[in-house]
Amino acid sequence: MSDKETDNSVEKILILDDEEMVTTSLSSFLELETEYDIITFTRGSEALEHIRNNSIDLVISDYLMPDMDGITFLAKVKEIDPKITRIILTGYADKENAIKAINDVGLFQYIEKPWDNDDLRIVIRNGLEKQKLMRELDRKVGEIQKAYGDLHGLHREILKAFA
Amino acid sequence: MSDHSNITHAQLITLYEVSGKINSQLNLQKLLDEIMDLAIKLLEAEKGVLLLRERGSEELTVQVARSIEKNSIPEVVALSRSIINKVKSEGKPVLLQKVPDMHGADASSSLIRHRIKSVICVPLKTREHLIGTIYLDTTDSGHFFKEEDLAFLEGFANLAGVAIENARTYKKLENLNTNLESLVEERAVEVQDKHRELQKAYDELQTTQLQLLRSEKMASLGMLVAGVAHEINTPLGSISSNTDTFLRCFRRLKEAAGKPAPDTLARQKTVDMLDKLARVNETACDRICNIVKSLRNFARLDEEDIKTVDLHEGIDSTLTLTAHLSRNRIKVNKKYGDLPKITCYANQINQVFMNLLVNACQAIRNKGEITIATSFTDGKICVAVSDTGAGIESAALEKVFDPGFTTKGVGVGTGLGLSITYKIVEEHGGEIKVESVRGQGTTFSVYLPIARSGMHGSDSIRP
Repeated sequence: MSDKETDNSVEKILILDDEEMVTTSLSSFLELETEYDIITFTRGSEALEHIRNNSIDLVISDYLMPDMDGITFLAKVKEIDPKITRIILTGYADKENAIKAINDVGLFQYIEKPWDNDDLRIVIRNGLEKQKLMRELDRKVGEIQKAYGDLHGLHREILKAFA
Repeated sequence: MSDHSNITHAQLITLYEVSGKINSQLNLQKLLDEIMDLAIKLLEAEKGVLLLRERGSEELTVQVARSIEKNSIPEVVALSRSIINKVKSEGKPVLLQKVPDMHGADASSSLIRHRIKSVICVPLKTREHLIGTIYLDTTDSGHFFKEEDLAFLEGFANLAGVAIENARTYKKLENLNTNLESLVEERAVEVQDKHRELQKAYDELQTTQLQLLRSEKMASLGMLVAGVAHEINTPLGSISSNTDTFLRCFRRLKEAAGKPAPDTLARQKTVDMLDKLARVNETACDRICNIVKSLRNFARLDEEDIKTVDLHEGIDSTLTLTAHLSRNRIKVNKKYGDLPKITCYANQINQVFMNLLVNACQAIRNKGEITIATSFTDGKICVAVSDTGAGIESAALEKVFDPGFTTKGVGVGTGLGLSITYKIVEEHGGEIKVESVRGQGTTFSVYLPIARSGMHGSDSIRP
């Protein structure tokens, strides 16, 4: 894992579920089949602390958890960094209410338990793609704004020169 | 005007005899016939007419008209209206002894026309009211009515008046009785109709109740299924993912085994992962096993209906199955005392715990606590389920065990859970009590005798 941490291009994924068996299964599969950098938590508060202090690209969270439910957790993640792709994993009996909550917070995707590993990988890949495109877009917008600023300055200097 | 003192001893005896005879006759028409016949016979008249005032009328109408041979005669032939009207209007008897001699203004022309020689007519009275007259006459010039005949007939008329009144009263009573009977019969028919209607309504009610019970069972079952599905989903998700990862690992190991220079580090990592996931699977399987065990324990499907059981086992199983309702927000405290085993319909008693626990979970809107306290005193087990939820208003508290009463929204509760709970506890010879403080929470306490006559544990059924 140490070699991944040094590589800045490796996407960082955070997994939160109060059940360790779930985080173990998810992280094992992703470690085996992908190059993503995986970190797992079983407590929401600890996961939030980590997100505040580290760069994270995608978050997968369980819905029903004892201290903080998944919707609340992901809403807080959005507050910290809206560009992080948020995915919820739900085994909740009342799917309708879950989906309503998901829409309220604005999530990228929800995955039902039990999940299919290949589907999960695709959802994660798409989520990261979107995240990457968003960051790219941000960067381009920044570049355009900078270029516009430069042009604006130049324009003023030219006007000054002719005045 | 005559006086009873004129009556001879012999006549008094006759009156006495006659009185017994007419007083025993309660049929009005027969009585009137008898009175007439007696009057004719006793006074040796040729013919007689008995007139009575009909109810609600002033007019006297002929009731009986007879000749001495006891044959009916046409009244028009026999009657001297003028004399009868005189008796009626004055209320006094009239005696015409020898009509030709008495010929004058009083004498009616009909008397002459019919060659009537002697007439006697007395009023029939009851309680001083004129109710009719008895009229007798004769065409025999050799026999005419005397003063003592008048006195005798007056006495006879008094007796007859009483007898007529009695017969009329009797008839009235009879009529009333008949009316009453028909009334009773009518009522009986009405009652039968009502009964039939009620029976129909009752049948409908029973069908509805059965449907409601079924829907309550379905609701509980739905709750149970939702709980079980949720509980199983997490370990199942893990196992299914792990199985997939297993296969991927094995494929890699197989591929690596075919290579001349295997990457030992990578292989070790894969083997470690297999090891880790196998242990996760073990935990996940244990979890599912526990849920299935709870389910079986809850339903007691593989056992006899009546069982001697440890109630704590039932409560724990029920807690497992309702865990999805409480997990995130409700802290469950168990304050279990030492309980002896109890002989009961275990699956029904578990249904009681299920209902109380589900209600407690639903009473707590956000975060809260549920405390389950058990104790054993005076041969009775007490299981108290307390929640720190919304509480129940005192007005609603009286109705919580009523069938159909619910404060939960449509589709949440059928309103039957607690009424079924009440019934189950009652059938076990126990009782259930509720205490609640609005805003602070509710406690349901179930008291169950450890054994009850009429209920035998499976041990005692078996030889």
